[in-house]
Amino acid sequence: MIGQDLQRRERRHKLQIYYDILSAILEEAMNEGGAKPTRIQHLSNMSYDKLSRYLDELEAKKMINKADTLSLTEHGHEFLKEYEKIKDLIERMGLE
Amino acid sequence: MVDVAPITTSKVQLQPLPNFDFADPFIFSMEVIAAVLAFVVALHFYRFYRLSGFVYLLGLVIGFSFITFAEFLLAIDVWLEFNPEIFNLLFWLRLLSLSYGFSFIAVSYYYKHREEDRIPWIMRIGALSVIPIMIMIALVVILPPAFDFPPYNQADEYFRVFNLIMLGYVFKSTLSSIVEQGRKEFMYIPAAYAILWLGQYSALISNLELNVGAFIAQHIAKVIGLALFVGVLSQIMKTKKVTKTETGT
Repeated sequence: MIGQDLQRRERRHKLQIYYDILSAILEEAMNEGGAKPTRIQHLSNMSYDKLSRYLDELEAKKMINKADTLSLTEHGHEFLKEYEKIKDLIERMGLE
Repeated sequence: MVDVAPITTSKVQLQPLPNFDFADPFIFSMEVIAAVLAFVVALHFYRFYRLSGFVYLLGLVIGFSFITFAEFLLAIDVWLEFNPEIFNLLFWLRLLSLSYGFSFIAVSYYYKHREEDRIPWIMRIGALSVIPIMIMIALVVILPPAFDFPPYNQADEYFRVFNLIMLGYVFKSTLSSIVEQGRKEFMYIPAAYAILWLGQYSALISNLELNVGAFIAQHIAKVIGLALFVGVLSQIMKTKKVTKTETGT
């Protein structure tokens, strides 16, 4: 039961974490002209290891580009735009 | 009252189907509507899968696509006026597709919290969906008369029971999640799965007793259940966008 609850929290957080990271990258890109991982780590308030894992996932899902600085792909922008809808779907479908 | 119409192939005489004046146009229209609705649901899920990349949503895409295919097959069968040459084959394909669809949906719910697993999701979903179907087929073929590929309606009951188990699991899973969230306004999806369950139950009763009420109920329940999905997904599509990021693109 505890394991299931942890997994549930992890998965629920995942959608939110994606959103937080992508929002931070977008904000940094708009304000500073580029998003550095250390800055995103600070803004998204997570450990570097965890951030690296999520950045890898987001890159695999083609939502970000990883170079000297991080940037959103078109798919990343689309995710942010449609985040509320995805969240609504997950909740309404009982996939929470 | 309901007459019965035996359908004979070169090898077997199939169990009769309910036969009344409006049966064929009724089945055809219901199946076409159900196929269109299931297709719309699959398309919506595909859009959300593409947006989020969550692989368990792919299971729902595949599941509802199989349901679309199953409904389409029955519509074809009616269109061909239950041609004896292919009647048994089309119904077997339909039973398999429908059960395969419900399996994919159930497996998606089973794995919704396990995205971190190392084995690729699609392999797990595919493998685990195939296993119960293969067991069902094996049972159908092995049970007496052994190794004699039977008329579809001898297997229909096994498949319907299997579908009831799958949909029962999905209903329980969605209901638990909604109750946990404390969002009564989200009850439409558990209700939709419950109505699909009732449709399968009616199909089982219809097959066992040739009951015209159950025969009609199975089709109507299926259409209502799928329409509820379309309604909820349309509602989600109207969800307001995030203002903060709208200015960022």
